[in-house]
Amino acid sequence: MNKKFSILDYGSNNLKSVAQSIKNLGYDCSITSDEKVILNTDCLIIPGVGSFKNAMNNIINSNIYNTIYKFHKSGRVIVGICLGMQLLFDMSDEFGSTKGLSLLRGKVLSLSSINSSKNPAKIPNIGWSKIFFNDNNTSNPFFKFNDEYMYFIHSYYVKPNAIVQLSYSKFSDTQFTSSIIHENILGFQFHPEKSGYIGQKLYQEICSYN
Amino acid sequence: MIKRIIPKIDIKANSVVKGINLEGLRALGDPSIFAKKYYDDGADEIIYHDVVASLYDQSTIFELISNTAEKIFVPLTVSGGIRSIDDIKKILSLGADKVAINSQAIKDKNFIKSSAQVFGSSTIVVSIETMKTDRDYYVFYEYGRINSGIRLLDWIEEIQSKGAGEILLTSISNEGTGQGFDINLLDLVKEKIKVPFLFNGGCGKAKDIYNIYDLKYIDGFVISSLFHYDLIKKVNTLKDNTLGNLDYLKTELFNQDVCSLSISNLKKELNTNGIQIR
Repeated sequence: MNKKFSILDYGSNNLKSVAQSIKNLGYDCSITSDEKVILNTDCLIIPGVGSFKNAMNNIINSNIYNTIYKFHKSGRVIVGICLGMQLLFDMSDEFGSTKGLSLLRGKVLSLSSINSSKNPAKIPNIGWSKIFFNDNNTSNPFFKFNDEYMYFIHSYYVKPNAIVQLSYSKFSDTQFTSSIIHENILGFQFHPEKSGYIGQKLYQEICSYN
Repeated sequence: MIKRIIPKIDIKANSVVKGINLEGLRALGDPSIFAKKYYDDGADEIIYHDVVASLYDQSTIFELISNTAEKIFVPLTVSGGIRSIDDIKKILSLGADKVAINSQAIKDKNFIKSSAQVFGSSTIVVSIETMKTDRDYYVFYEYGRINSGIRLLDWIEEIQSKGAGEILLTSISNEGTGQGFDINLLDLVKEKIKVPFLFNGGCGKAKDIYNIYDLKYIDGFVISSLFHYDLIKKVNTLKDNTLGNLDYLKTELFNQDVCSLSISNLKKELNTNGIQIR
């Protein structure tokens, strides 16, 4: 049977290109916040740009909060993209401190906290950076994207507590986690749907992950 | 961060247009064809600029944005005629990733701040058109027609304090000339711009980029004529395109010694000269 995807609509933008990337691969894909629809799909994608606090408020003030937990408990794949990945962690230090979904242990921190004084980089971090994989990941289906350029646009990054890092990238002189993998959860700080043809290839791997 | 190469497609009445010094616009063809070709050729982002929207209150490019977002998978920035939070919401929902704001930022001094709060700074590009008059560079708006009377450096400081996520700076006097970037302008602003800096106006060859001494301050190069002319020379379908001003292109444009270069060839040349690109 053909796999079905839902893209979580919680008032954030950047939904259309994600949906189009999945549809181009021939899969069914709906942009929705309807629990019935979401629980009837095989994979939930949480996209997002903008403010962590606004996003969490939208999620808490609707039934979406429970839907995400139910979906997660069922063991099906959840994919977080950019802010969507950050929301999966415990908390963000944006505007003091904001609680996240706590599906993964760790924090979301400002890039300014790792900016070097010797070689400072601009914030927001916008543009193309390479992603690098740790050596022990060579059997991973995503490893073929080692050393490839992806498109980033963010001012915060995730600092996981446990070893869930799939790839890292560089900001200023420092490495940060640019994608994560943990049981049924995948997360990307960059935007595969904005990373040209190589990003479209990455969607093939996302869509066949289970 | 590596340098971004960003084609800017100016649009009027559903056609790509290009002038010199933001004047004397000529119709060149279907914008979505240009966008797709540039995407295929390695554009790092694409900018759509609706030239007349800020003058005549038109919102004709919505359908174009939507169609384009289904075909290209690099960031799409839209500018021209953006006046409200609802305008931004609409444009982003159609599939654009960022908006660039110029006139409205000048008319409503709170607009940058309120839109950055709603959509996040990284979505809000502030577009600045500037020209030197007397001794100082001033900020212009309405596609370079009106001098706001605001000094460039004051404006750069103000919009950054209000949450501009990126600055797209256009030199009106160099725009469309192919004579290279405005280096005096770069000298003036290089230390003042703290957010990602996109430089526009005058690129006529790869050398115009790799010979810039202060390259480290610039994050992206925004280029129109150079790529448009290259594309027009190659695209045979131009014959079928009723939008294009063929007489002008054939008789006038190509008799002149216009610069033309593809994105991929520009990138190759930059790479050969030690500039990191994708």
